[in-house]
Amino acid sequence: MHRSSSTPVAWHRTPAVALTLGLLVVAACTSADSATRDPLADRPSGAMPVETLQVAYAPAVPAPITRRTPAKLVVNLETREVKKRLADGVEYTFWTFGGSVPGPMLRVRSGDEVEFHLNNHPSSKMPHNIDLHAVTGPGGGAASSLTAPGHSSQFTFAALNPGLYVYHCATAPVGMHIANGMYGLILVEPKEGLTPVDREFYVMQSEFYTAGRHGAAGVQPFDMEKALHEDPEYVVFNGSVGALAGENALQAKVGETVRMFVGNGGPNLVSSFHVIGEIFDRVHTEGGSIANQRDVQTTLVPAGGSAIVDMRLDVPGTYILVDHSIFRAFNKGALGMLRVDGDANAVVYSGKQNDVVYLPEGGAVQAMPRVAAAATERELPREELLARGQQVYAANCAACHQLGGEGTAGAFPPLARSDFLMANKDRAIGVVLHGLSGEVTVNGQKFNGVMPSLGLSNTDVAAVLSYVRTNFGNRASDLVSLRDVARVRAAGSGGH
Amino acid sequence: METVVSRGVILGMWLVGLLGGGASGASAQQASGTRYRPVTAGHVRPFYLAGVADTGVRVPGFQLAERAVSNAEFLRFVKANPGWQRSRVPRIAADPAYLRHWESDTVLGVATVASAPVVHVSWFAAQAYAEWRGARLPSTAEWELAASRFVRSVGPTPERLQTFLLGSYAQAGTEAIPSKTPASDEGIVGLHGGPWEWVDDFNSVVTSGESRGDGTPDDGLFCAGGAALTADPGNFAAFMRYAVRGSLRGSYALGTLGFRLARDASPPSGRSPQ
Amino acid sequence: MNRPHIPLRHRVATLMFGMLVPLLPFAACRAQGAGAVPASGLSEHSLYRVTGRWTNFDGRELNLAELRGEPVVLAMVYTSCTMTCPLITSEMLAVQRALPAEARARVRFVLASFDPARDSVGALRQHAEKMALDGRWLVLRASPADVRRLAVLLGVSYRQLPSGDFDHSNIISVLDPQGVVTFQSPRIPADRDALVKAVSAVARPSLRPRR
Repeated sequence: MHRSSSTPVAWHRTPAVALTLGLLVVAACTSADSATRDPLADRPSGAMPVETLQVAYAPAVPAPITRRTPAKLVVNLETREVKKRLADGVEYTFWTFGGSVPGPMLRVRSGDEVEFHLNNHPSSKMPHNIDLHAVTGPGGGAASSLTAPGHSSQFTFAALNPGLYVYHCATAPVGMHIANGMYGLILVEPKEGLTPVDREFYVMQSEFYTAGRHGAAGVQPFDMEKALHEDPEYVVFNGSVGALAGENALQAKVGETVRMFVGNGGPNLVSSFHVIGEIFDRVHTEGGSIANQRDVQTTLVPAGGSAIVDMRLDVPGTYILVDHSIFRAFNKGALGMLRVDGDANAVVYSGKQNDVVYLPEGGAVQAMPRVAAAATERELPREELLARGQQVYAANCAACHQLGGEGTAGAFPPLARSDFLMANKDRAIGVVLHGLSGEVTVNGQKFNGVMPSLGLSNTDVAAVLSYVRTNFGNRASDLVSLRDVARVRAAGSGGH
Repeated sequence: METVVSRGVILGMWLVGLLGGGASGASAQQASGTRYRPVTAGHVRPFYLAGVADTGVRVPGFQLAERAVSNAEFLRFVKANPGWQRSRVPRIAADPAYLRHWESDTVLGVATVASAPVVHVSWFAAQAYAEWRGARLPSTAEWELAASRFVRSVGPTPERLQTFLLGSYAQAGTEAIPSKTPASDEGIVGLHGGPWEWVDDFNSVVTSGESRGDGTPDDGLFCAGGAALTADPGNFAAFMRYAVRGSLRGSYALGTLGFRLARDASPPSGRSPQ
Repeated sequence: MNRPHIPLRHRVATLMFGMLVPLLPFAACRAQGAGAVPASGLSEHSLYRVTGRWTNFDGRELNLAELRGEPVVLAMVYTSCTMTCPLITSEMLAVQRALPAEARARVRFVLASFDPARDSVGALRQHAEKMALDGRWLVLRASPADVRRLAVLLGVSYRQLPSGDFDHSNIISVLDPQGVVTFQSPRIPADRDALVKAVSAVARPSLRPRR
């Protein structure tokens, strides 16, 4: 190094040195960071231990990985075409991983090596392969794994990035293979593992495009037009209507923190995932490796994507899982249940404390604005009377009492086989004319609501009551005549 | 008088013996001769085009067997050619699933329907059978041409055919029996709804298992003149057939794969000349 | 170089042995058509059980089974191909050069043409000269049916385009002296080290056909 002949300088104080030191510090930090970020950094130089990869079928999740060193995991996944239930009375020929929709959930640790055997059952009609979104490499494995029926393919990959990933079949036509049920989730845990929780669940939403309408019975074939137009007949959790409802509901206890690994196989729709009555305390948006959001009501799960949500359960009850594009939940099947048992917590949620009818104008029975009376009030012949009655019923009564007269539990009494209705004809006429409030007992159930006066003409009252009293399992021996209605009306408002 | 009668009887017995022997000798290879149907010439656009200018090929008229080769017919073949029996065929020509549905080398067994299409046969076995019968396998273009003609039973539009095909392919396994599926306009039975069928050039699908890219075949794996564009991306049924062909090797003996015979067009004769 | 002294009777015996061994498959062959299942001793995975009649660029006709006894590096190309076929051939040439001398003397290099219509014997000979292929090389043509059969055996996909050119796989296969495929290189550019290693493995002197 060439020395200057000038007086020695305090070199450690020069800006150059400061800059160099600063750069060194930054470099050290960055390299340290990249060392921890490199998933393959802790691979041993020799052979890794070989284990069987843990899988579980929805809604169960494989146990968290306790190992803190990389391993080689061997997994055998079978593709099989099976015909089974899509909804009550409805069957579908599903193409599956492992015989179920969704396929099993796989769980590995970042840095693990996975030896993947894809076995296509001999009874399959189609070749299948697999694209794991966790795989870094062409096609996610699809190029290496096209497998004819009765044959097996093998390939190996390293799980690099942590996160929750979808896997699916990618054989042409890809949309059809996915639409028929070939998807699942693979969780790549970060090296340090996930924050522990009390319970974990595996939920995967998807759609089905059937030739028949929703609920049409029998074996339903795949409908390509509907799939192209993104207009499914079924949107479900875990492969069938009711897979997470009733007896199949998820179970948990008050005080537990529950984690849901939520996937969306699509093939087309994005999900607005929401648990009615709960808030997600932590969310790994899009299944990424960071719990990047807190206190979320509804989170998006992309088609071919995922999310991880944690929630602490404070109050017992049944919580409903939905896709909050709400018609999918209530009309197409995107509805699941989480039953939480335990002690009530009145501070958090008191339950219903009071139920009174809110009437801005006051507590009395309200009358619908009186419609101009029918041009002429007249007695109708039986056929016409009953037909008219059916129309009036559908237009005025069915909204509360339902089209079959079954009513709405806890709110509106049934008219079907109704003891209250049939006990007293004049009383029934009075109810339709003037409305009703206060507690009544119908077929052994108490109801305490308010029925408004509907402002119907005498003809219509006669018609609708004749209809109701001779339908819905009610057996009246006589119809209600115009004269009966006129008489009761003249007697004045007598609502209880 | 008695001598004449007895000589006549002896001569008659000779004749019967000759005819019977001749008949049985002929039937050793012919038995129920294959009935072929003429398939008129036409134009087929291959499913995977070699570039946008690929307008396809003209397929000359040919003859296609009315039915796929049956278990009974294939049994006759392996009896006459013991090297093709299950326990004797080398693995290069047929994998371990070869004829696994039969009870033994030369016995179908009660579980196997003799007249149903034979499955669990490799391409090499199908080729050998075709050669034995003086015929051949249809090419992909020939098969697709014959299989596209379903106007009479399914309807005139491609969409109707598509819906029908997807419905029949949706049946799990091989439940669909060819006798229950409609014949083509040219009277060929079981092209759809039954097992898949070998074609002579099944290995002409030049794409990898990764089929979601822009259509350009992987240049490293293939020497290819242009993009492997799909002629008809909405034609899921064709996708499925081509996917099956692309996944096969010649020794594979799938339970959902059989074959039928083809011949070049020849003077009108319904039956095999053998 | 010193040549060891070998008695005449030994040379004759070796010569006769060398001539007779390749004839054994034909002696045992049962005539059953092109799909014949021949020869005792051949592995049931050997390609030589299912091959057809080919013609070399020097006009000689042969059954591929005649290659039995030597390791083979085999690829399918066509002479008018301007894309990867020349690269396939030069890859094989590079492998040949990379082999140790004693292995090089034992290994056969075979190109089989997709295109019998345009690849006449003369065209094949021109190609061999152009690519400077030495005596260890064969450049073969056969009927379309036999070409299809070989391609299927090797797992090679191909189809002819309207232009007359071919789309095809770039597979280079290594066969042991029994005709069993032991290694395949799927792509160009190939992993040359892996190819050389695979060829060396089947070119070892201990690998002579037994039985």
